[in-house]
Amino acid sequence: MKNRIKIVFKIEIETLFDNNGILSTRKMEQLSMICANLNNSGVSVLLVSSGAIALGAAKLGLIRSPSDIIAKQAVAAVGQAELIISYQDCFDHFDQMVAQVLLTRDVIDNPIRNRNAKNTLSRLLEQGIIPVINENDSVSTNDIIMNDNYPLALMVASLTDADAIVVNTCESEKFLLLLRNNSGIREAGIDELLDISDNITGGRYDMDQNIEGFPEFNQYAGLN
Amino acid sequence: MANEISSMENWKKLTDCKTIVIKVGSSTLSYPNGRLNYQKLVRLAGTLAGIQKTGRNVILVSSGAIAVGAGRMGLASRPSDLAAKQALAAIGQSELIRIYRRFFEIRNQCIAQVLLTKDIVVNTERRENARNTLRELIKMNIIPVINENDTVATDEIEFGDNDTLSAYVAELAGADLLILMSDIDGLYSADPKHNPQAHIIPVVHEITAELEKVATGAGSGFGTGGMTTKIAASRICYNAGINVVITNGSNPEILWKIIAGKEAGTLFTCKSGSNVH
Repeated sequence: MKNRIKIVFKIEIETLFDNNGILSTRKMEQLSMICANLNNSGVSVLLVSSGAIALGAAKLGLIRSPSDIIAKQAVAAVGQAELIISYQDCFDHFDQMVAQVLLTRDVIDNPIRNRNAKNTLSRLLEQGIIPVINENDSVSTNDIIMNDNYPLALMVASLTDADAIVVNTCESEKFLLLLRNNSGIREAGIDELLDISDNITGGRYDMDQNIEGFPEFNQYAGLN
Repeated sequence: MANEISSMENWKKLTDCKTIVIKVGSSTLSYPNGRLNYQKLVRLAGTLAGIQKTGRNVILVSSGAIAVGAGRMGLASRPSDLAAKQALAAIGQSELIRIYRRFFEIRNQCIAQVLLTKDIVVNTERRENARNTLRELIKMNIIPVINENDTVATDEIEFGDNDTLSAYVAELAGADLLILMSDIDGLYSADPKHNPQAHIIPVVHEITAELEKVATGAGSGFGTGGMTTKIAASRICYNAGINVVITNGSNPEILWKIIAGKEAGTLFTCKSGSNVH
């Protein structure tokens, strides 16, 4: 159990949209299949997914996402329900259970919150459940302001001692791979991704002892 | 007689309530074996959507995440350790909100999920955010479905239970009525098991020490099913100018009776003139 490779998927919901800017069930199912497949192969998978505001706006029939922060929070409360339900519906096809975990930044600094979040996540992973994680927009506004969930993915990776962060791209067969203790960013297709456990344990990726963890947001933004 | 008339008058005033927080516990939503009673959820969602259509604003505070999670995992009983409970809550909350969404959608009612932790009471920024979110949702004619964010809660009983959470929600949302749906009919004057004279107190104007003693049933064993936290919730609401009703949740349609101004349990009136909304 200890030796299971852990990976965090960083999902921007826009990568799962079709040409009309609507959530594509086909794309979400494809992603769910890959995650479920990895999970079946013995890799622990966590999903950090944005999408609460976009799906909330779609649900409410808004033409564009609201611009003021309070309206965004309300729309996010509608959309977070839509988001987790969409993932659940997709993962159901692969008999894969998911769990919703909404975090705020204080899980980093508040030791009790930190411990509880760690415990919840590791318990879910032990049971083969994929946590679907987002920021709790109703009570905090970091991600709404940041407009990118890499910092949240980074936080989850550090909470769980993850081995890799996988970024999905608009091309459904192409992923970006960030490995712990590696300063680069690597492109990977589905087959390479599904072999990630063997590739990491087999030492097929370069790891640099001088590099700590994953790139910070600024570095990531530069790499990407 | 005079008392009876005045208590009826107090109940009648509830017809004016505009924003109503309704709290349901797991025991109302599930069978004694812990599994969900879907029909009860359908009726609850139907009733709440119906009330929303009368022009009132409804906010639902619902427990049940752990129960649903345990059901999904096929567990016969609720685990006792915190990490297991939190994991089940994470599994169950997403399932619970999926079920609510389905049942509300049948009635063409949009819902939102809001998960809160106790720091909305002390952390000004969180409090402000939660207040803004709730009030905006109300404006948008959406029913917020609220629960405690168990996965990060600093301990399993941050709010004790959702009674206290629902009182804070009522305050933040600017509600004028909180209805606690419970498995008892209301607050009894004495232990009904031991005292044939025991009756439901229809109206409470002031939470006295004596009343608290009756409610928590020191040593009597009755009313321990959360009456302490219901009194605590009533106290928060009293000061915030919010009426509180404790009623039996076995028939969700009882909510219609309450908003029609008919007696249905125990009404805790709020501090008069303190309604700050």
